[in-house]
Amino acid sequence: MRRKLPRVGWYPAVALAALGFGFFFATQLRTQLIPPTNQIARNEALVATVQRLETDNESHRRRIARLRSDIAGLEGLAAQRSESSRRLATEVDDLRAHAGLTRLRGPGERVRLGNGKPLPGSASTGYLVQFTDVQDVVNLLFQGGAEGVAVAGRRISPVSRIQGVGGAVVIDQGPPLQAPFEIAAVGNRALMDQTLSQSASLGDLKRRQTMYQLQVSWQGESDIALPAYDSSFEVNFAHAIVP
Amino acid sequence: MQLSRSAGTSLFVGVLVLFLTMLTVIQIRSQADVARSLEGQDNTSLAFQIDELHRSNDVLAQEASRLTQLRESLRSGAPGAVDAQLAAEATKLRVVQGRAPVMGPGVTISVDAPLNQLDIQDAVNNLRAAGAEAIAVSGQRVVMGSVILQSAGNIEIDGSNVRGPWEFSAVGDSAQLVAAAAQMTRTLRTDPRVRSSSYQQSSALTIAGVVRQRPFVYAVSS
Repeated sequence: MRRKLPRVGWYPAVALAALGFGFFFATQLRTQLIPPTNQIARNEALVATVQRLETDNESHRRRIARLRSDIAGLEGLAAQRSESSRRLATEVDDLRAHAGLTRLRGPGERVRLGNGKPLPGSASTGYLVQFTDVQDVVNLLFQGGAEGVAVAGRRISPVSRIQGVGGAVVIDQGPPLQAPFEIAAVGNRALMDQTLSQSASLGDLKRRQTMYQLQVSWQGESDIALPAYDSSFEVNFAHAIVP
Repeated sequence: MQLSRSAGTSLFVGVLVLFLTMLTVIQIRSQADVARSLEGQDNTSLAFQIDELHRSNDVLAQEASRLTQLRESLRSGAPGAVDAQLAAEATKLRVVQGRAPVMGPGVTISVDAPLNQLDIQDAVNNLRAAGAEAIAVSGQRVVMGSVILQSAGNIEIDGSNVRGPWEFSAVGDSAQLVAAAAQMTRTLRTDPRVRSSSYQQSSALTIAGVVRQRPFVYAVSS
């Protein structure tokens, strides 16, 4: 007669199996959990750096706006002292207005651009609004008679640069901006509306609107206010040729 | 005795299940955290943003410093100094608006191809992104806001007819502009429409064309 193995005999086997699982999960933890944790920490550190730099950026731009206001006031005072100063101050005022250094208001159009939805299983970033889309809309608004344009509250100047990577858009020395974008333009409202509506305009954006449900819309308004340009005019290499 | 052994087994299995569940939850949560924190903010994008912000903040600090000096100079109140400051500011603003001919280091890109409106806009955008302070397309000065139009095969820039072979001139930081010009000519050469494309660096490039100022018709400045 065979002797029956007591049930307690299975316990070491279960314990050994649990130990094996423990080692397996410990290895899994080292290979899977630790890298993502480091990735999160690295990502959070980068985000914190961006936030600190954005705060500095905002502070610089506020200071520049305050200094420009002080200077305009002092020039106004100086203009009262002599005829030559008055003439020069008037000319500088006019040049500043056309360079985007003053606030502007009037009738215009607001264009809104928002990200679409990625196609399932596709790595394409066509669903994101990119800096080239913003650039195309700005160009088109000027083509439609805009006298001043601002993107997400950042005024565009004659030397403005619109750059970006992925879905981040950087205008001049401002902070990186993410969609949705509102592009406001003051000028010939009817002509801007007509230009935006033409089938040939913004072909790529309209194609992606169908494909990725990218959001593209515009609306005319009777009174739009644009802020003054608050960044630097980097003119370090181009020297005016004096006749 | 039999009861207590059964209770021990249950406890053991319970602890094992608890441990496994805990590991699974930690794993899932960690992966979800990673996905959430990286959504639309991958490291490449963040690195780009940091680089741009550092550069921008340096430029803004310099501008603030320049404006502080200008304000102090105006506060000093010497009439001659005030006029000199105003004249310098007017000159700078004319350069910014493309209303003054300029000279400086830069590049000229020559392209023999039937370029269209979008090609020209792209080329101008690329040069601007590369730090160009003044740009001309076949002699026609271009700023942000210049209107580039195509009708019946003709290209108009701010109402003036412009035709190829195309010459894109840009004054600015030579190193950046040369890098951009090299990239642009490489790309253009892969385009079957392009018969030739080359660039030339210059230490003293002149852009004589100027932009006519468009008066405000609808907008009111304040």
